[in-house]
Amino acid sequence: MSKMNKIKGKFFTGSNNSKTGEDKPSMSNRCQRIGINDIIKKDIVTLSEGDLIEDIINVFTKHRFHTYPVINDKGNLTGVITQNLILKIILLDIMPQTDHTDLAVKSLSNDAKGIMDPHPVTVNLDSNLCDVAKLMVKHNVNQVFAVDNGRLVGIVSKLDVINEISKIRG
Amino acid sequence: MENILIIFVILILAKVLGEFFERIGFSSILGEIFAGIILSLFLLSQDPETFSFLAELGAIFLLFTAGYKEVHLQELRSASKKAIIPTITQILLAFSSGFILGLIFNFQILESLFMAVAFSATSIGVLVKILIDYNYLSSKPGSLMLTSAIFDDIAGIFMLSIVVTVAELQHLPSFSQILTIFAKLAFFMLSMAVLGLKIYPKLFDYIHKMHIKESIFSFVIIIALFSAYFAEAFELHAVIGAFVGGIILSRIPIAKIEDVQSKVSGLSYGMFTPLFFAYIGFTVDLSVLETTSLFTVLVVVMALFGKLVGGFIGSKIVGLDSSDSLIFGIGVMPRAGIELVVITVGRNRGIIGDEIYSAIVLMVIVSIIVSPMLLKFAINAKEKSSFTSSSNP
Repeated sequence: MSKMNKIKGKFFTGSNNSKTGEDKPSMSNRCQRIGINDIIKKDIVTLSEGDLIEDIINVFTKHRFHTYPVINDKGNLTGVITQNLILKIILLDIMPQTDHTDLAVKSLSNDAKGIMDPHPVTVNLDSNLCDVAKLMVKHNVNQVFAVDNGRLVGIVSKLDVINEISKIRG
Repeated sequence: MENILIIFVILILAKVLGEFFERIGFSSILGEIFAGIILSLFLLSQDPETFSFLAELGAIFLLFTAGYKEVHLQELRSASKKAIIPTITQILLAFSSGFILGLIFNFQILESLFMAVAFSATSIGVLVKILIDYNYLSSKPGSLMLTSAIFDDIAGIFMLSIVVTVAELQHLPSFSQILTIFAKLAFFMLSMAVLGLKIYPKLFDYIHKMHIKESIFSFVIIIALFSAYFAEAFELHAVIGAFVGGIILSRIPIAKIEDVQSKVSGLSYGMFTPLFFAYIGFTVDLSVLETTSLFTVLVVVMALFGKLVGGFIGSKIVGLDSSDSLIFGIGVMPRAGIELVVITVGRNRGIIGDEIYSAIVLMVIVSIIVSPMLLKFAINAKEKSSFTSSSNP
């Protein structure tokens, strides 16, 4: 029985529509056979909930990724901080006024926990390549986070997915 | 075709004027209200039925988005305790100013109550840019203002629930009727809490698996509308349901992912709320503003002073010095949201007339223009006095 699609803690997980036993090796069939464990990157740069805004900016300038996961002291994924979000916080005064109250409250916190978007798109470890690709397109995100009972295990980027699909296309 | 033309003209005017006002440092809401005023001058013969329906949706989406995006009670927990007293004092003084003013000018108690509730709200968004420019956002009065403004929204919705229900009775309620009002409100809140904690998370788990396009976004909107309708079933107003629905959905991770938030924001700020603010301008009785009666002047002055004095006293009680208390008092002066919903509800239900309605719209316009100027002045004065005291040991 798949553990997929169950809300785990603060985040939600992807869907698993794996159908086995189909004769025709369609593209979707082949991508469903590739488990997320085969594609996730486990060596990832993370932010801690207590990291201050200056530390976060340093991480962005040093590593050049688009999104960083925020983890608590138990290693659980609690949120994400994207380039967009950090720019909005730093340049709050030039953002549209309708966003000011929301961003102002976030910026008051001054640490990763207060700033982060606490609703990351995640998948469980029994997801497959198709699930991940579908989630990325559906939620318009460039990466999803793999979690095991809430604990952050790895990350899959859109580029990883495209590379893998390119391989199975031959 | 005429309806399409009206919506087209309103939206384009609202956006162009909104842009103009935002560029010169004021809230885009001013532009949207003026778009409505301009339209009323040129399109008097048009039947505003479609416009008023869209404006009603605008009010629903305005408050839904406020609940969904802006009520960060958890994040504000540290500032919450300190903000309670200034929030109570500024609401109390503003409310009393409105109520007493209504009674002095011989309005009925219900009309005066609506005016009092309209006096009580705050829209901090108008001032955030100035607080940032002057590096005051994270200062004591800055964080207190933010927290207090968010509490104001909640208190405003609560008060609106009460006055709308009282308005349904068409007379002041007896003790048992007051109990019934509170019971309805409590039962509504309880039902919404059960939906939010038990039903919606499971529902969104299924919605998330749906194959159809935009399933999550659609269900967020469906729940916004359901919450509005559900509130009406409890004889509360639709906007109250929308606000509570927004708060509840904001706690459900899948309903709050960035992509969905951005679409909700687009629908709200890109389409419906400009129509609501333009409708406010469209329905203002300009002759009331042209004559600028003593009543209109007093509405503007008392609404602003009620907040200023109430905020000043409250922040002094929690230990802010006089300059910071003044900054806080000015910070809670601007209005640009719930009070306009309050007067629209009051007007649509025939409780308040054009005189109160138009005077409060003028008060909102004045508050949006005057508050940033006063805030700059107060901060500059504080900086100057700090500089003088530090250079003269």
